[in-house]
Amino acid sequence: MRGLARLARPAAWLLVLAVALPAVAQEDQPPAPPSPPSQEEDDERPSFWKRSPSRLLELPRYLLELPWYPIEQLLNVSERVDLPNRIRDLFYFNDERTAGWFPNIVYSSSEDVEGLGLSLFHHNLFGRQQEADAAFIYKARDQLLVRGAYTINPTPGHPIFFKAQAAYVHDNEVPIYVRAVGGSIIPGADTTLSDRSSYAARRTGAGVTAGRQITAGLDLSTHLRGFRAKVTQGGPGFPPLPAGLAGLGEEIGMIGGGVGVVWDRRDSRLRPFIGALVTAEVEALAAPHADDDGTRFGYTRYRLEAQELIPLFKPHRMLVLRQTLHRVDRLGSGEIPFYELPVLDFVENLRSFDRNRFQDRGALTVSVEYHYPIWRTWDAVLFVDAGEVFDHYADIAIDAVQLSEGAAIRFMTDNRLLFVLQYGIGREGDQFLFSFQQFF
Amino acid sequence: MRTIAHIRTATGPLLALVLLAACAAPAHHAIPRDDASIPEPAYDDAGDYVWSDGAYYMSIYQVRKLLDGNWLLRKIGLLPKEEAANIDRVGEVADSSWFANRHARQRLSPEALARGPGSGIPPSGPWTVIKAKAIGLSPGFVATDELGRRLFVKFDPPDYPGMGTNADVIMSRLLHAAGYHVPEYYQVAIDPDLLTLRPEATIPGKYKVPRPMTRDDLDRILAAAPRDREGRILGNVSIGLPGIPTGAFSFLGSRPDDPNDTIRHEDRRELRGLRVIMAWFNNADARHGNTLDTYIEEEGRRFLKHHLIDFSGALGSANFRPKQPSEGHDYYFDPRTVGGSLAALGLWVKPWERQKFTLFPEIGLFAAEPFTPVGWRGYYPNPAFEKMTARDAFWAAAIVTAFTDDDIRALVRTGYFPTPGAEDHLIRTLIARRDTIGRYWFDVTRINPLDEMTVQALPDGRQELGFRDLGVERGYADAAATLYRYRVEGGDFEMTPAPRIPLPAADRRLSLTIQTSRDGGDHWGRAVTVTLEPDNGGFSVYQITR
Repeated sequence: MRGLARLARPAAWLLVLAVALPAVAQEDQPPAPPSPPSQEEDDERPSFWKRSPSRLLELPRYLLELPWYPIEQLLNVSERVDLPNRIRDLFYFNDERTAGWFPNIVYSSSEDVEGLGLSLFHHNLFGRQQEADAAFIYKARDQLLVRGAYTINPTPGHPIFFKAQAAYVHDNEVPIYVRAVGGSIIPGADTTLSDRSSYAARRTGAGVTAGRQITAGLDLSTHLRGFRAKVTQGGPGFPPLPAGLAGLGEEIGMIGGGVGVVWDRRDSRLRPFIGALVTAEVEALAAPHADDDGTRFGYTRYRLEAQELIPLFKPHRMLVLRQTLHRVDRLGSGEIPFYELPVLDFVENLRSFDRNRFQDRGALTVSVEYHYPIWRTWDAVLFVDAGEVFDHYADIAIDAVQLSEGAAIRFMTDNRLLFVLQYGIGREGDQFLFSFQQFF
Repeated sequence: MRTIAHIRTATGPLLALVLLAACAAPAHHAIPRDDASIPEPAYDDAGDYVWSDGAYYMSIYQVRKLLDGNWLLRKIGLLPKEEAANIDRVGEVADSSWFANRHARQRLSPEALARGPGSGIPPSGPWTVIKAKAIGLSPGFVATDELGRRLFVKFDPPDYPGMGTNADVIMSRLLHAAGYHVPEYYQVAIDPDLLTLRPEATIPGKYKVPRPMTRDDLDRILAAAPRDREGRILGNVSIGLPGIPTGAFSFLGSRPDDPNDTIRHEDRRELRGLRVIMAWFNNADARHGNTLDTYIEEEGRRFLKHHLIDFSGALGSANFRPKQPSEGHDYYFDPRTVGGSLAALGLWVKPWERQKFTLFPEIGLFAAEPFTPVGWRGYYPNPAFEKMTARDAFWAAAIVTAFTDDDIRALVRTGYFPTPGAEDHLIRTLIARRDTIGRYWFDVTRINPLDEMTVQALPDGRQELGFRDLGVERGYADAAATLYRYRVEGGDFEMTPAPRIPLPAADRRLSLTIQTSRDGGDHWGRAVTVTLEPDNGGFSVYQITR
């Protein structure tokens, strides 16, 4: 992965050159007529002008022609033997192309989020468009994410939907920013980059969701889920975590359930232009048993997210306003495992900050994105994120708001392959993210 | 100082190269005939070329130009634009294995326009199917008729009956009248009972690997074909060209195995000017793969004849679907558009992005607005189109505007238009696009549109130079506001409102410079220079330079 990092800058330049050079060279401007000939040159003007003033000056272009020749032959052969479909079929297990696999690639300037993996899918099980997906992302340095899902989508005659999913995460170096002052432990907004520590986690989780499509775009659901996690001190290189963190060094199992509502008024799921999406979810989880020292774990969580798509002008210039509120509270006297606290980072709505940069009992974000098309289904995005984490609602203060600005290019294919190239800038530096993976 | 010395050291050879290039002597050469007997060239079966061509012209070719010193010198104006290499002294293209002057020089009747390159009689069954179609996006098959002719049958998408076929049928007739060599195309109702499958017929299977073709395969192709209102299967049939097919010609370079092919294709005026005609008909698919050379025999000589084929990407058709608004305006991948769009933060709204259009199933998306002759684009760059100069465009615009409204109606009526208003929409759109081309390329600020210059003897023995002002004659300029000024050699300008210029008596070559004004003489456009040479006591036109 460090090799990839070294390649990033030259690759970016190559990308710029690949776009810019042909742009300079294309000559489809209106052909300028020649100046009217002077009287003196009239008699000497040839019937048609010289075509190639000097072959010598053309020679450098053969620098490109020679390496191109084998590529041209390959492309012609590819066309004849249908190589693109042969290659495409490498990713599918059936002729209908409803089942197959895709690579997953995630690379970021944060060393904690990068990896390679693959997705397996079948999107028409039993001929009823039921979906099964499984994916993993593997990072060489002891980081593995495996997840799977089975989905029964609602159909016009059958408004009930169902989703079962499971995930396993093994990560020996999850970053965390936390500071111990005296006897108390300060996470969240008051930490600095120097407060970085890490922990190791193994976590297995599973859940089922069942719901009903009330009307087109309005879904109500209920879910049950549980997980088992063991979190210990991370590897060397960072200061150890304070011993008083809830859940550190213990193996905890929690189970619970909740309800959710999704109100989706967007005109398209792949590339929406107008509409709104509101999701709300409330749940309560508790550990069935107290741990060895008598601590009980239990918390409630609610998460609200609202997106409004405001078309500025057609086609596909729009503002997306996104607000999220994520909050966990103790369930009775139960403790909240620290790794279950809401997070703000470069994958969670604060796109210039390191992974897990801010964690606390509440996280609030407001994002404004401007989307505009650059090529066919590709959109560029300019964004400003503002967010903060907090312990109590009373702690929310304007001067604690963290800002990220940046730009991204993204597109999603019909097969839900999501490509994202993102660069965020903020108070603590910048974050680059390249992601190409199947979204489910 | 050492740096400066290095720069000087490097500048010397560079300057020498520039001077060498700039001072190269102009060449006079005769345009060679291209129908001498040649050995039969090998068949080039590389395929449809869409991958290699697309990738090359959208990327490598664009960068390659930056490495071409001549191109750079032309770009900064140190060298003149590279003019076409196959034109005569008056800028015309001679009849050849590439082109034959037709409608623009000798008007064809409406019947001849509608007849096109062949007899005008569609082939009828029974047919023997010899194989399924292997190249291209539309389903179809190859058959032979009772006359032994090879028939290429293809079908439109079922929801768009007539879309690609109309494009083929109408554009092939247009191109034939314009002067290009094209196959015959017909729309026919196909009776499945008149189709016989040859036992050894093949069909491309998975990954294009041929396998035996069965009647079920044929029935599947026919089942997916569009039908007319009477329920008949509508097919698009082109009749195989005479001679031996030897593969496609490229719009760049020349065929090394054809000794007659001495002029680089991107330097042929008829291929450069084809851009204007393709823009008129919005044939975004004008590319290498849609051409065909055949080895033919004429008058005892055997040589290659060069054809344009497959026009189902014209008008509003993109072969298997209607065109999208961007098609005809942007290359599939255009770094300028992508880069510009990215940099403009969405504020650059391309005209086609807000296009309002009516989509007729038998036409697809084809509109008069937005359309600019120089802003038109195919699916990817075409090197001959890129090298088109104002003089190439003028030559082609003269052909385009030679088609009158009635000519266009005669051509369009060869198509199939079951939807009320569709035929009228196509006629109006073609007329509007033709006029956009005429107004643009006959604008005197771009080129002086005086054509067909001839010297006429007057009854009193004097001579005058007569010409046709295509701008006025074809309705793009007001005759009452038009004035011409001219001068002989270095003399003073004189003005005349008529397209006739009296010539002085002389027994040597004369050079006459003419300019045109469209506003009664307030502003004058580009000059055209006519060189006259003594001829039997009078003059004849020796050369025209625009």
